[in-house]
Amino acid sequence: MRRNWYWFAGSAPTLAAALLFSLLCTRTARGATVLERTVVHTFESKGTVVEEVRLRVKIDSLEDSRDWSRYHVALNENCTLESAAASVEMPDGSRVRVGSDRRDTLEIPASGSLHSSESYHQIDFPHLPIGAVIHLHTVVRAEPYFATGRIALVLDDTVASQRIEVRGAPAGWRWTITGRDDRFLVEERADGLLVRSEGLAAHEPPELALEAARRGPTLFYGWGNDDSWPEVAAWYEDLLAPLSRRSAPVRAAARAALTGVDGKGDRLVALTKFVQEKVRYVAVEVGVGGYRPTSPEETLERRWGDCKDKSLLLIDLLAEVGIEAHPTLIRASRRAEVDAAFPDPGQFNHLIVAVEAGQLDGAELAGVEAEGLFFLDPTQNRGGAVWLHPADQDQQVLVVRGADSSLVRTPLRPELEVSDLRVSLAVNATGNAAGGAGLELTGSTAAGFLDLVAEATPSEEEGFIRRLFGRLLPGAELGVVSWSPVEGDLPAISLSASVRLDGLVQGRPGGRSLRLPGLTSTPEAHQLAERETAVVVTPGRTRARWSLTLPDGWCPPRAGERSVANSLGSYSQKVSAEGGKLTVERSTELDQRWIEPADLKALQELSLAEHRALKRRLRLRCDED
Amino acid sequence: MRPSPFFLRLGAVSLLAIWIALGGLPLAAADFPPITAQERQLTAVDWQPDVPAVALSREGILRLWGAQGTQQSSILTVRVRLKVLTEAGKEQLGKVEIVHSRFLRLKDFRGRTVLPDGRELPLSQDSIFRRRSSRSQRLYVTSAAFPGVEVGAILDYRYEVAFDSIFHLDPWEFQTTIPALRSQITYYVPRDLEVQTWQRDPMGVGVQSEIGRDAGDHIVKVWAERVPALPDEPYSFPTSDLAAKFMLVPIKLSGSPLLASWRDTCELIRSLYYDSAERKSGSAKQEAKRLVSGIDKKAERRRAEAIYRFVRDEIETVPLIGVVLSKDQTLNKVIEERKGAYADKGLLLATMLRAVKIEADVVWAASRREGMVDLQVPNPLWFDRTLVRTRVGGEEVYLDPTSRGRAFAALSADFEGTQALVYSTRKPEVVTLPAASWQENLRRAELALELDDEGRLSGTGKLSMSGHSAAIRLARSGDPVERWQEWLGEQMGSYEISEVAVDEAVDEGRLDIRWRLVQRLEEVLGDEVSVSLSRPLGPVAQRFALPLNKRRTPVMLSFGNLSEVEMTLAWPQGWEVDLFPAGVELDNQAGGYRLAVEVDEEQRSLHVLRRMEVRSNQYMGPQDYAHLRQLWGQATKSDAQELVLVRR
Repeated sequence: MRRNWYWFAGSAPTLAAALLFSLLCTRTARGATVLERTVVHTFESKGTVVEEVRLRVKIDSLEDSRDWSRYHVALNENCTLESAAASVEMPDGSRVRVGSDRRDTLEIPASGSLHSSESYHQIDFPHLPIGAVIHLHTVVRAEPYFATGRIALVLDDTVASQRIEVRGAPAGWRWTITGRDDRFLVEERADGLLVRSEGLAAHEPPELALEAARRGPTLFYGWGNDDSWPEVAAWYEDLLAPLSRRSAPVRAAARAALTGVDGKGDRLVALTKFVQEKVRYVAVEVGVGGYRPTSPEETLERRWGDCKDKSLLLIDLLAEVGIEAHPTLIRASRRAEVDAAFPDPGQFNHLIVAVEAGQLDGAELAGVEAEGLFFLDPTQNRGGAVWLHPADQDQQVLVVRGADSSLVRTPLRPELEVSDLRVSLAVNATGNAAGGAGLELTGSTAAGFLDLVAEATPSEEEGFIRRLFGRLLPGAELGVVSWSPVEGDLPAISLSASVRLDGLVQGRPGGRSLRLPGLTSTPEAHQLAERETAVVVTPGRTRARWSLTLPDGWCPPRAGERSVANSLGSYSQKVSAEGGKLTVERSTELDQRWIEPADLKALQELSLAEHRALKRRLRLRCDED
Repeated sequence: MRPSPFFLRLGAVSLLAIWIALGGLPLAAADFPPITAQERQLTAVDWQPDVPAVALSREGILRLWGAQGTQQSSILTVRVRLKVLTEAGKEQLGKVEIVHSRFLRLKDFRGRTVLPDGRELPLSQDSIFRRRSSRSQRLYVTSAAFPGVEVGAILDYRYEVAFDSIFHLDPWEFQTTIPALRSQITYYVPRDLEVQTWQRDPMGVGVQSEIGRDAGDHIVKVWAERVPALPDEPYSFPTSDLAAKFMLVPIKLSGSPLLASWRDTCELIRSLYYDSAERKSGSAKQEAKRLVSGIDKKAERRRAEAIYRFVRDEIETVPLIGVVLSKDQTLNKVIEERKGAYADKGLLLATMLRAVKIEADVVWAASRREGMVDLQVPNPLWFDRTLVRTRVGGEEVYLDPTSRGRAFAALSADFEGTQALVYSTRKPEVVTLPAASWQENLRRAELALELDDEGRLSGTGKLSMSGHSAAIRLARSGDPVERWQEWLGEQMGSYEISEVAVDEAVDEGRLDIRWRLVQRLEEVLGDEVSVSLSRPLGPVAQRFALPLNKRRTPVMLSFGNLSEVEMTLAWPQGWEVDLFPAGVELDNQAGGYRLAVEVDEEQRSLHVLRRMEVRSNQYMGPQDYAHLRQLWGQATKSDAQELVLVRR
């Protein structure tokens, strides 16, 4: 059985860096035909689940031959391979069995982990000519760490006939299918479930969608009494129970870190900073160690650990100064949302810390507060205690605090995620412009940039800045560029460049015009049309201010303001002129992380306003023209 | 008796590469030399400011089998001492990963962190992790996270690697991504082994050496001090070309030749690998005969093409570089399994051609991307790919059957113009591989657009490619229509793209795509329309952002090429051209850029030609760099300009 959760393969700032400079890649559906797919999960005694998979796959093209030339079965300390039989039925009817010489076991840690117990049994098929049919039968025995499981109901190949079954489920059996539709015929049984489908098309993940929609319909199931979020929290508390806590070295470290720091609020900030800066993020996940932290004392001693190690250390350090803090399970992702209706720790991938605000003597940590709790992510190495990475924002999290354990929504702080472009240029009589540009970034993009330059040489650093301005100001010739961090509680940077933009203003007298490039933060309108799935956007503030000094005798465009505001945010463009100086200000505010289909019209409205304003040229006309 | 010398294959290469990248492995406290006051006090590298970390020392000791009392194998001992100078350095140096195997046996991996106050934290066993990256091949990765790493901390580590061979054909690279105060390799060479030395120092680091003797063994000590970090600049030469390095090549053992000449090297490879693989090649030969059975014997090229296509398309390429074969590999097995590494496919093609009486030589080639090779030194590990030289219809051609996008007689850009070796146990020959001209690597887009009364653009497009421009795209898998639809959607985001038709003519080395396009309704302003003149091939962005005075390394691009966009646009009555960019013509030593717009107001139409020429893939000096920068700067500026039509 595939291990269905993992603990945060990368720290939040790593994600920021990736988001800042990466391109979105989508995998297109494959072309092979899965003639038959059967997945059966059978319960045995003491919560053991045996997963049996049977596949018959017809190779229709050379691409299929390549794609299916290797098959992998995911394994772990608690998931062992019972058997794996594979053969190929050749087009001439002969059968080739895949022997042990074509098997391997590869131990490969998840991305971002130094080491883990994950492994893959690899079956290496012989030549698969077009028309060949693969036959696979694998049996894996799993001892889940929590009483839940899942089975994907779609593949990225077409499936002619599919049978998904759960048998022998013990008491407390429950299930749900996300993204369910009428392709799946569900037959409910007392001890399980049968889901049959015929002619399933290959799944193509929709763009800009939530993780669940991208993954496609999935069966989630569970059993036993742990069917509520407090039960999930209790399970986690049991995992933590054997760990040695609040040891003398940890308490001494807390006291040492707080020398000269008074007040609970300041102490919380100082200890969070200590764990963020003095304990490196290194992930090692072996067996249940992928779920259970290392003891705080050990983490402190070696000065490295993953999210759960760092969180537990912070909790113990805070305890030393009388601040009670709680481990908090979260799905750290800009594109995911926990399904509150199906309690399952497999929905989480990260651990942070929650602190009840009431015990901090009125200290204000507005950026990270929601529902009377402060949320702290000790894996963040930027921004201190008053900023939460967007991947941690607006998520339903499970605060583990005994009988009071519950799901709580973390704050959404779009006002802390800001991009502010300032361009100041003098235009000459030929329409060429020269001056300076500045870009202030606050929040995750700034954190991502800081991470990127931290390991860069000065020339690499300069290259980043030049490419960034090159994208913001297409066609610009850049002179000297520089950057500096902005001091404060948030991750923030200021970048600047001297700029020359030839041909910014074009046309003859009476017909002069210009188009000012800029950033957009809404999806393009066509991506929203006729859409049935929610759209994920990046909440935040995008601002630009262009100040242009025009040559004597040139008339500025007509002053005016166009703005759109609705429940999702706003867009505005304001044009003003004074004494030969033209100012164009643009601002987009997006206040939600994901937008349901019912609200897409409002998003389209913002998108059209933002994108069209960028397309339309500003006409420099005197009244008499 | 020593075992066969070549069974290391590429293992030595990968291990050394990783060790160098990471700076080496960990010693029990007692094994580490004492930290000097100078090392403790160092907070920055005055000759290379703003670096996150420095190697205080990086040392290798290689005792070749038989030297210094080594009885069973050669032993490479690596000792590294690093110092963290900044917070970034803490993240960069805190982890170590080492790849090893049953052939490269890792031993005695130890380490420690010494804190700025002098406290010592040993690298404990529970912070060292070993995993099997492949159970069947017995490949392992050992990783470790150092304890207590902080700014000012010193990390010491050491390890040994034992291998049952007298060959270690990887150069010692003195330069890595961080500077080093000292980097040194010492070889202990047994008295019965004759060696040849080789070194390269392109940045003038100042590699020094001395030779001595100890208990009958030769000692070769090579070192460099104040070694700068390797520059990391975009579109640069491979780091292998920039780094100072040293290598020792065994040429004779007890008077018997090893790698004394290319002939000896070829003989060694023949006896160890090629002979046994070719001995079991009956099925390959039969398949060759079957493939050409219906083709006229005089049509030599068609016969060769049929076999080439078979090896290229029907034998899956396993991307394993090198010219030696895996243990027990035979050509029959390659045919049976329908898959093979680069070397397997090259040897198979040559054997199959010969089976039908077509002349064929195996050619060992080195990818330019992996760095320049020096064929004065007969090192078989220089090479990445096995090609085939043949003569058909009186023409000498080189074949590379490893990519399904590559036409007969076409080479990958990475090999064009490089020096290669024609494998022969009688008369090996160094040759220069042919190179196509930059004009042959063409991308040409034609757009025919029309504006309607409502201010909406629509029309047709065609994109033709040839040479490397086509080959790299022909090699991609998946549905080509879907792929190109997606690409066009990205490049021409203002338009809905439909009726995409793709003609993939692999054997002609050509690719044509046609489509229809109509401006998206939300893009239509009604009284104004702006048109980019460079799409779908532009707009380009300045690649060479670093000013001339800061660039330190030469430039390498994938290949020289020509890209053209030709567009016609017609508009209805009631509309007029408001703006169009001025023509541009730039020609310098790097290439050329041309933009020409002709407007015919009477016919209400215009014609645009945008052409960019990149005439080489390597640009060596500052002047070349200045020209490249000028070329891309001009293209960036011009491509950002638009044509604007407005309603009167």
